[in-house]
Amino acid sequence: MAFAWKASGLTYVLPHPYLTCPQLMASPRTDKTCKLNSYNKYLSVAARVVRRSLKDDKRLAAERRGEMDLKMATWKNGKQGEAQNVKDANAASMAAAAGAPAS
Amino acid sequence: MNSLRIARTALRARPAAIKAPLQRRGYAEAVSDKIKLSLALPHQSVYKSQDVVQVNIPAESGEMGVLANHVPSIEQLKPGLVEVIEESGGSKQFFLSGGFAIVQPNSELSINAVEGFPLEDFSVESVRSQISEAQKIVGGSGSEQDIAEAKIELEVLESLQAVLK
Repeated sequence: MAFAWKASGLTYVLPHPYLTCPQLMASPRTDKTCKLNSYNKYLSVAARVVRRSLKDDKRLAAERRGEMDLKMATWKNGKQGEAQNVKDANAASMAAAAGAPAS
Repeated sequence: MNSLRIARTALRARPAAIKAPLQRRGYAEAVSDKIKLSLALPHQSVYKSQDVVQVNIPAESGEMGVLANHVPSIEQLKPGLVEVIEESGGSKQFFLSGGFAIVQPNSELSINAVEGFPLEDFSVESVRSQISEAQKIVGGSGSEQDIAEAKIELEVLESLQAVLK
């Protein structure tokens, strides 16, 4: 069965269009010139802000779920590169994607 | 001897038991008017295949109410209010951060979201202060990514503020 989000060009891996496509930022709901392509990033930002909007007691418990403590390292020529936090690496690559000129 | 007697009475009772449901059965009864709702978050299942009367969802294609025997469909959800009307007649309201709702052919509705909380768990003041903060970032001169994230946040917060009133 073809899923609607696949047909519309949604995937789970690419950066969010808001980050690369200025037209979409201007009118998020109506502009169809850019395809949505990182739903996951969008969802994580939306989830984060929902957690922050909770009453204090619930918020403390919920925000613990948003924490990520995962490390990664790139291997090159059989040697392990520098280990870095996945969250920091993600943020850096997102910033790089946003800085690139919109196609 | 005793067990034999029980077996015989059971044998006698059976024909009536078989006939009775056949007589009572009609088309109207064969179809349930309840929809089985599963509302799942990564860390919790709020509803687990529970019979409910109606579910209102904020789909990207528009607000929709889902009753039993709804046409099968897959809907992407906006960050918004999901209202569940339960069998007892009461209704429960949840704010979901966005996800998918899948209506399956046999009157089953699965809703998946990253975060979802009952409406009473949200703090109006916190929403208001975050809106002004996000607006500041959107109008400011931060990085493109920060502005993009603030716009997403603003969209969620405004939807949240609208339902909290």
